[in-house]
Amino acid sequence: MLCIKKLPSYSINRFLFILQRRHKSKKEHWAVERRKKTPSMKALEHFDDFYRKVFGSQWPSVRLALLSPHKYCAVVNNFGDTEQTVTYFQNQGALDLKTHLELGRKLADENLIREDDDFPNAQKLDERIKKLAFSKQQQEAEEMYPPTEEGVQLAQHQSASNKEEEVVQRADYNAKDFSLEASKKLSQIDESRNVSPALGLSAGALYEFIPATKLKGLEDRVLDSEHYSYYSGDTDFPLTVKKEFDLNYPDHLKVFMYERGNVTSFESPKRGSTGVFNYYLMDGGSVLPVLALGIEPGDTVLDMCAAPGGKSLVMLQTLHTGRLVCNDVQESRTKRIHSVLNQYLYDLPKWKDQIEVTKSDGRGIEQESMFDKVLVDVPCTTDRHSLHEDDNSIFNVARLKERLRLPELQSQLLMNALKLVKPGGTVVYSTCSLSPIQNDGVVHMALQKIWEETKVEVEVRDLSPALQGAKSVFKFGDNIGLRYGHLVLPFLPCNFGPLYFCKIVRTK
Amino acid sequence: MIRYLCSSCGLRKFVCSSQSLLLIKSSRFRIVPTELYPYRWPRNCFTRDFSTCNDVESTKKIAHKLGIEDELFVDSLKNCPDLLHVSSNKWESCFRELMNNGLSAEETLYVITKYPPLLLTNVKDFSTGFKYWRGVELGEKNVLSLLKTCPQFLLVRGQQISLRVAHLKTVGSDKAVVKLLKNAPRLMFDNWNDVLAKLSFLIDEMRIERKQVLKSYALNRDLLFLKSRFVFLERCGKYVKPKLDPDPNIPSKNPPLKSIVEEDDETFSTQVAGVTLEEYEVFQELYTMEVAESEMDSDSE
Repeated sequence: MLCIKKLPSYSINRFLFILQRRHKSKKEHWAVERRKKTPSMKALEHFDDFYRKVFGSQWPSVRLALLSPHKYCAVVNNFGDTEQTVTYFQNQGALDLKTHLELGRKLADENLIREDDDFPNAQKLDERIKKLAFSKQQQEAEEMYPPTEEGVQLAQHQSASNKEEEVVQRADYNAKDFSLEASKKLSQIDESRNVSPALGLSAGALYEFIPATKLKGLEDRVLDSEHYSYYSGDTDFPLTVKKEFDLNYPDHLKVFMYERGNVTSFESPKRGSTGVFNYYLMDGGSVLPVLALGIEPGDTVLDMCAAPGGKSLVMLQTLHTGRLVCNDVQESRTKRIHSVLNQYLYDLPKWKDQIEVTKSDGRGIEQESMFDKVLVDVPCTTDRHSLHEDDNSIFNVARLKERLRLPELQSQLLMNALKLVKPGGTVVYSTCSLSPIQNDGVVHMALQKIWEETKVEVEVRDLSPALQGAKSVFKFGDNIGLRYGHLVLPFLPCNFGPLYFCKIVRTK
Repeated sequence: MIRYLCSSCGLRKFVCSSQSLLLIKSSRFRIVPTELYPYRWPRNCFTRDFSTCNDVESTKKIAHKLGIEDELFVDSLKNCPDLLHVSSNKWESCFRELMNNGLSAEETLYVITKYPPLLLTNVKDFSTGFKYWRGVELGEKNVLSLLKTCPQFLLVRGQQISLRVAHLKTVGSDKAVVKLLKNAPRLMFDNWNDVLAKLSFLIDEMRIERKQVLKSYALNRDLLFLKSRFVFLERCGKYVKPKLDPDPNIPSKNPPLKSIVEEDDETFSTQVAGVTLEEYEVFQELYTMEVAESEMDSDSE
């Protein structure tokens, strides 16, 4: 197709050059159409497989919200032009979170919102995950023994032997009860292992045969089903759950957000007269773990996995922190914390007594009973991020093992946090994943281990009554059967989260 | 006053002055089909042309003379009282002209009740309209059934008829074209590139069978509407693009095109997508913003 570059009308006649534009065919080549799956596609496939079973009829709603643009809240920087910023947001029609909570509480009181009974649902969730783990095991067995005749026989043999083992375990079978003669009579000859002389193998060759017992590379293999086994439904340790009726909302913390159904977005933050940014944009759900922490004036606080530093900044905006330690494991991540603090705190070097940025593995911190409050925002599958970004995604094939073993790392971090907090202090465990394994499953594992291995005693705080008011701006997954924490479910009219948080208080 | 639509920019225009009517003659504006923009005539539009309002009895007599049953006529008047504002002579001439072109008396009454602006038109235009429609070779039976369903097509310009039907014939057979026009009358007036974009989106991108598309009401919708419904379903996980070589033994779990395109917002969101109406309304707002942003990005590139 020929076309002429846009030129003033008088000049068209003078130019004789006609630029030829090449048009690409819109139809993609079949090889492109059937291209390899990207990590985000794999993430979506995994979520469809797993979360559909966990969330049931709610999954389409959550999926829609996860794949749609995110909603943000604006945390006003108390070290910038605070009053001007607050007036600006009020003029824009945004409301402070504190106002949202008060209005929501009034609404809840008037409507008398029904308390969901978690217990039957919790049982259902356990059953659902057990079923899922079982189906994964079967799937893996099928993959290992492809459905050829031999494969089917092997799989059947394996499942039969598993069943036999179960029967044996249940009946408290003791092999010594049978004599050798009796067991010989009971045994059957495996004729499939007979070697026909027609094959031409000498007896000597048969003696040299050593059957394979292991496959190379199998030692390092992590099965999907193992990941699901991290979730345990049985509680065989003493556990106290206490209800909390009030959320300690700091007076100086100002978080602005638009009401449910309002899709207006905030502009990018600008620098104020002091040279620092006036507000910080973050997921609205991320404020809740900090509020759950209930920081009081003079508290020593540890943010165990702090990068990029958003939650640490919210803690600083409460103006209550006596000393704040922001820790993360990699240097690149601690640099991000530094850069956020630099952008939001005027004259950062003067804060050296109050803020410390450290680089260490959270599992290895050895300052036991040092902190009043610890926030453990663990590395997780970052569900929303994984669906939109392919770079360095946890769903990358190269990071498969890391992903499947995440619950182990998460529970170790939480366990250490429970050791680091003073008796009477609070630990808040949070993730931005919807997975019950990474959420309640990890809390359960950590609580069990802490009871088995240490003398630390803890109790879980149920914040449901305190969070009644927040239901006007957040959608909580109260009815999916959570046992310990609270989950902010992505919901398009208030598209925050996913964010799970659980408040644990060390009593001894 | 009649409502017209700009052929290039889609601007709606109300025409009542002679100066504005010149615009129609310059073919920039054309009559909007009633299915899309239900007409609402001010009374003076008729009394201006016909000095006195017509008497019910005299029109009834004419209708009786033409072979229309009294009950049917009264029912039609109940449905469309504006019919009475036209002189009885005009009534008769309009009826006779339409009946001469192959419609029965009852069909003629049905057509005029459905699209009363025909009564205002010069009767010579009917025969011209019929002539053009017969010229596009869709078959006499097909043409009559089409004009009975979409009487507004009688007032479309001849060149436009031949050009648009030729375009549509590239999409399907004669029968399919007639069905398509009956389902989506706006196809006659829409920009052809817009129609192609809709077809390409449904058939190439969403991989819906051509047969289904031709049978459905889908092409009567805007591209943005179609995209928003499909994207919504895709994000809810309720619509998965079929493979290029689907296994015929595995039935598709996707909802049928009819329920995607024809259901109202509430039924679509709750029953087809399995979410709430509130979510769909918010999504529509967000998606319009997303599309506007992507268009701005592509413009800046």
